[in-house]
Amino acid sequence: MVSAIRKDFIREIKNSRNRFLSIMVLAMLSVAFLSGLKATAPDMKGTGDDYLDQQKLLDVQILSTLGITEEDIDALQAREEIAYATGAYVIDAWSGDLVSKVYSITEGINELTVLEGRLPQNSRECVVDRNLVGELGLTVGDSLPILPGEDYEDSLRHEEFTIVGVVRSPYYICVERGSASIGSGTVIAYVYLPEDAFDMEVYTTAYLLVEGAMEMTAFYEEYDDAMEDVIDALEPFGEVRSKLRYDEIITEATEKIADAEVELADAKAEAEEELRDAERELRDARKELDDGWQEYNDGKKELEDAYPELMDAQQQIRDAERELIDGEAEYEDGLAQYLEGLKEYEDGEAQLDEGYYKLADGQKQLDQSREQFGLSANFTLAEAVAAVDGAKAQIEAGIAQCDAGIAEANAGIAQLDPLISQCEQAMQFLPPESEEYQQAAAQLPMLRQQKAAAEAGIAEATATKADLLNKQAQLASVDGQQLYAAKVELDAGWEEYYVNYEKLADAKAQLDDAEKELADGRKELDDGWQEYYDGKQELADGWADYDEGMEKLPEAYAELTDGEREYRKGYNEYIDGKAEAEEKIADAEEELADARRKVADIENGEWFILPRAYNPGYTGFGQDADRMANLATVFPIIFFLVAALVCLTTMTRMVEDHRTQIGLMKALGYNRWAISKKYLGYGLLPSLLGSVLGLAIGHLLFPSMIYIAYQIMYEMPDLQLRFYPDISISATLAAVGCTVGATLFACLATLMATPANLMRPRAPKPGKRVLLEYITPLWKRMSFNWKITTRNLLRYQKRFWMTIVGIGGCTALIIAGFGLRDSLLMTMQRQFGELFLHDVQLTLASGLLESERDELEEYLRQCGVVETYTEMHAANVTAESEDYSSISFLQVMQSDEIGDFIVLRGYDEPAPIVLNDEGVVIDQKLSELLNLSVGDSFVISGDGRQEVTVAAICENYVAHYIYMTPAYYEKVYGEEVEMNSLLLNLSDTSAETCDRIMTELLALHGVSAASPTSDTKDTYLSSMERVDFVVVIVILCAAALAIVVLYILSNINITERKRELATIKVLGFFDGEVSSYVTRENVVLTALGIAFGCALGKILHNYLVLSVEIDLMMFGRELMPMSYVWAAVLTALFATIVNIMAHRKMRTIDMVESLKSAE
Amino acid sequence: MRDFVVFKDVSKRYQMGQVTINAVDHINFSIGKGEFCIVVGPSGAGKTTVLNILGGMDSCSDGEITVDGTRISEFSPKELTKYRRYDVGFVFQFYNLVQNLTALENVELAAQICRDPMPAAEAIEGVGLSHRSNNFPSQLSGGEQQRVSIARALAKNPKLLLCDEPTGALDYVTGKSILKLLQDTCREKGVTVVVITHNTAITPMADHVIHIKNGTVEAEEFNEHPIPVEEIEW
Repeated sequence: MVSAIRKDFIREIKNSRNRFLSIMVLAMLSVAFLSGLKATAPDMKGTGDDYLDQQKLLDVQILSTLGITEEDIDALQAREEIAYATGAYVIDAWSGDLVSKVYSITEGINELTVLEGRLPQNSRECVVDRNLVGELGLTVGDSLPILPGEDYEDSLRHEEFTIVGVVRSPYYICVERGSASIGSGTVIAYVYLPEDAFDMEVYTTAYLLVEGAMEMTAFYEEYDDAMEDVIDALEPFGEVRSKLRYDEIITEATEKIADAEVELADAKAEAEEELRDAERELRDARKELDDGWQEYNDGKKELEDAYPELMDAQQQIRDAERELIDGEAEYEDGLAQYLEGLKEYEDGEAQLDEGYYKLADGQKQLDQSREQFGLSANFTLAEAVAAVDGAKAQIEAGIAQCDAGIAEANAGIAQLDPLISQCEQAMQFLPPESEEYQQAAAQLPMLRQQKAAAEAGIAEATATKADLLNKQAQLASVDGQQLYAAKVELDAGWEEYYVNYEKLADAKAQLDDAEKELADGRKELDDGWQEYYDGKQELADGWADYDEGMEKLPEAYAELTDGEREYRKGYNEYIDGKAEAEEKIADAEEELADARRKVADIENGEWFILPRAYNPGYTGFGQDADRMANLATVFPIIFFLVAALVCLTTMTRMVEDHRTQIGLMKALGYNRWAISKKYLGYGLLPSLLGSVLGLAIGHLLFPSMIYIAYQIMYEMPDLQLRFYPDISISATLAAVGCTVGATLFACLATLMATPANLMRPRAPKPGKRVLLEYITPLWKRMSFNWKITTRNLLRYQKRFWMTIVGIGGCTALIIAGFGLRDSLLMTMQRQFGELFLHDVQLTLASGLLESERDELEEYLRQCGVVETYTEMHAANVTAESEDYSSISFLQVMQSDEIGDFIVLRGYDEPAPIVLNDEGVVIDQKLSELLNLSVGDSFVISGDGRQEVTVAAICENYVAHYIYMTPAYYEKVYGEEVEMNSLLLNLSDTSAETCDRIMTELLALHGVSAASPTSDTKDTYLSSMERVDFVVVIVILCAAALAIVVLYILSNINITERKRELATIKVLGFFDGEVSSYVTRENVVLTALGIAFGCALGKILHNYLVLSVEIDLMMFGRELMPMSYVWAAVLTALFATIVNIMAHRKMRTIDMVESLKSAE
Repeated sequence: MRDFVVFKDVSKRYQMGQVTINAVDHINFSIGKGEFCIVVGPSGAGKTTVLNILGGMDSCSDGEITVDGTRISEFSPKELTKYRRYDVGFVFQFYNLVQNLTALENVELAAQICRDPMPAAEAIEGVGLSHRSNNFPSQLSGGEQQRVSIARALAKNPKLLLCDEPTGALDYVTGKSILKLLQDTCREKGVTVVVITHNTAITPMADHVIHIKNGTVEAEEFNEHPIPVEEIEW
């Protein structure tokens, strides 16, 4: 039987696939919508928290008016609630042309995500914000000039840094960059430098990580409360530390003043000393000058005297020259005579020498011959003849002797030869031991020796003979007489030679004398010349000296006058310097006094201990997430309401359909539980399946899609999807509970009845008269069909209300969705179409020069596009009341000029508001946030804190504005307002013209920024698209719900009245008539549902707008008529689609149905 | 004379998966104008199918049906609807009144779509329910409801009054009075009445009885002198 029940259950599902699916889809939609919207907020927050934990974003930061010291950091670190503390530098600076925040890189806290490049490695490198790279068009590797703002002069070691990376700082989770005290006040980008790039005495900020904060999830109250506790605990500590710092500064300052006093005294002494020195120097200079004058006059006199002397000397030199020239000529003559004599002498000498050599030769020959014949020097003729003849005879004898010797020797040889050959033969043939042989051997050498001696004698004799023959030939020509004659001649030659020799020696002596004389003359002349040249040189030098002197005179004069002037100058300087020194000393004394006063004035330091909410965008992110959570509360409730009603209807219908079967089961003895199990199961299964599907869709799709929209605004990593058991369980419970509850409710009544009762066909719901029938005139006028419809409508009241609520709910959701879009669009349209009439806002350069202003005004007049313009003072301020503060724009304008540029009108009643000198005009949203009404006062803090009165409240949607007149400004701030901006109206607002004007304006020196209103509009529009996207999701979901609800209701309507419809078909109603019989009801129901939905939608929209609105923006709170129309049209369209489906279904109804008994 | 309704070789087959069921198999009969005809047979004999086909609620698979000289067997669905609308009056076993309409209104519902309807009040009066004409069906007894049902059928001035087990859900006395009403209507208004029932006991009251069994006419009998209902006991 159990299996039978199961089979029945499965078949039931198969047979009613549509119903099953409908319930499933309803559960799916509801759960997806609820869990999706619910999961979005924790997903966003969780993703944010993970990212911030990972980057170790500070939990608390401390700013101090007096700076934060290392000791402060150590003391903070020592506290038990602080997990980590570190000091950091933060300054406002110009990076390139951008207003930027410059931070020191900290380790272990506020860690950067490197998007490109790397972190800096030395003090000349920096990493930057993506914005900076984008705005300035720089890339990694470029250099970036950083100029600290006024308050932080000299706080950086370098002026230029190399960009080595692009980073994302967890401190900035949104595209906003906060505000600064320089430029326009709006920070465009941040820059991170290594700590050692800063040159500051104390940290500007302390970053703290709180113990246990990591485990909590940021953006939730738990975390905020915990941080608030830590901040509260730190406050008194801060006071103590501030006091310490104060004392330190005071001590330091006092010391400094003391030092300064000593320094001043020293400086004073030094100055006096210096002055004294200067005086002395001046005196010396006077003396020197006087000496100079004396010298000049002396020199002048000397020169005047030197002139005649020089002239005399010149004459003398000329005379000497002439004399010398004469001397020279004389010398030349002498020299010529001498040379002639010398020549003659030399000739004579040569002749003499020649003769001598001839004589010497002859003598020599004679002496030879004489010696040869052995004659004395003074030989006679006889002696000579004898000697010659004797010599000749002697030679002939020698020759003969020689011939004889030769002949003798030849004979000896002839004897010897046979002997020798005998011996040689014997030796050849005889045995060597023989005696003969021995004899021969002994004889042979002796024989040979003898032969050699003989041959040598021949050779000697032959040589001697040759020699003798030679002598004989020589002597042949010589005879004694001749020899004598030669002797006589020679003696005579010698005699003559000696006489000549004597003569020549005399001439030589004479010549030598002349030479000496000449050399003396020469020397004399040379000396004369030398003297002459010396004199001439001397004269030239004298002239040169003279000329030089003459030349130098005016020079010296000029020099002296210069000296005189300088002296006067020096003197004046001395006087001035003296005065200055005295003044300076006085100033320094004054300064010291000032400093003393200032030290006395130093205020006790204050610690500003700030939570993360101070970070730009941090609160906004949490609020955006919460806004999604807000959406998640209202929308799904309506969804669930509708789904539950529809489930109830469906299940009621199902149970009623099964009335007989239930009766049967009961009759068979099944208990209530066993019977109701089927229906509860039938409710449970599709709702559970639908829930699971819905959870999947909701957890995956919704958060991702919504987050993508938010990522435009926030610089965060991609969303981490999480599974939320609590949300899932509650959503599933809600969906399953609704369905099962509805089933239970439907079952209960039926199960209570007795089986008999159940087995009988259920008494049809009785017809009833409706109230309308009693209004007879009206009832009578209604057509029969309408009467039926009316009665039918009111007969099934449950279905009536369910349908109206169902359709109404869907319509309301659609209206709310469209309404949200309306609100967004209206916001833009009102703000930029109706309220802001100006097209461009110009920020003027600070310290604008008159010439630059003229140039700018000239341009504005000339360019032809600017229609009108006005001056304005604009500043970023914070508007504060007791429990709320909000960043606002302060705009100071003349009340008679503002109208052309900004429309001020009331929000509730659009009456024009006139700016007066009695107070400020604030916008509606600000007044709501700060809880202000006209006449209340609040504080503007920015440049100091000023209390202002609210004079009027104006319509405004985007951002917050505080308007006041210059007169009121002066009253409040106590100083004249400086106009720092211009508002322009253009006659041509096309994009090209705008671009051109912007470029040209920014090129002017006087303009530091120019922002077209359309840019601002674009920025807001893009951020609004996020919400727009959510709207699309809402509309789609609502549409899906509407279709399902209408389908189910219409389906039930038809099934419930099948028999009735079959009957009227049998009665001959055409298909169209049958359809219209039902459709008329549907049309009425749809119309009523739409009407109800419009009312509900208005309420829903109101609620939604308020919960989606962010603090910086007010949405239009009205619904456009078109939204109602759209919602109505859409609902009607869905209803039509569903009616067409119903029509089809009705056509298939079998008329045989009418013959069956009522089940 | 007996050619007001003519069934000629009419068959109706239902395809139930693989099996073809011949609900009506080559049936032939004819009914004369103004006749009170009872079609009788056991359950499943095919009498309801005959009624469906005759009432224009269903079409035959084969054969030819003529009603008052018109061949309704060749009618399109729309023509069939017109046929039901103008020519046929239906009385159901379970009355099939629209619960949300009063007795009078239920009659009006049918009357308003006719070309020449009998005034609703007159129809109600005709069935003797003028005093309850403003009551809702739930306030009426079964017999009264069936009377309203008959009034609704008659208000159309139909050529043919088809009644499907008109007394099936009624007690003996009430059933009798309803049958009497039908018989009287036939006699007084000359309306051709066809009553389908399994109760053979009431056949003597009819002019013409058609016995159907297994989809064919088993027998036909004609009573020259039908017995008034009051005299029949069962």
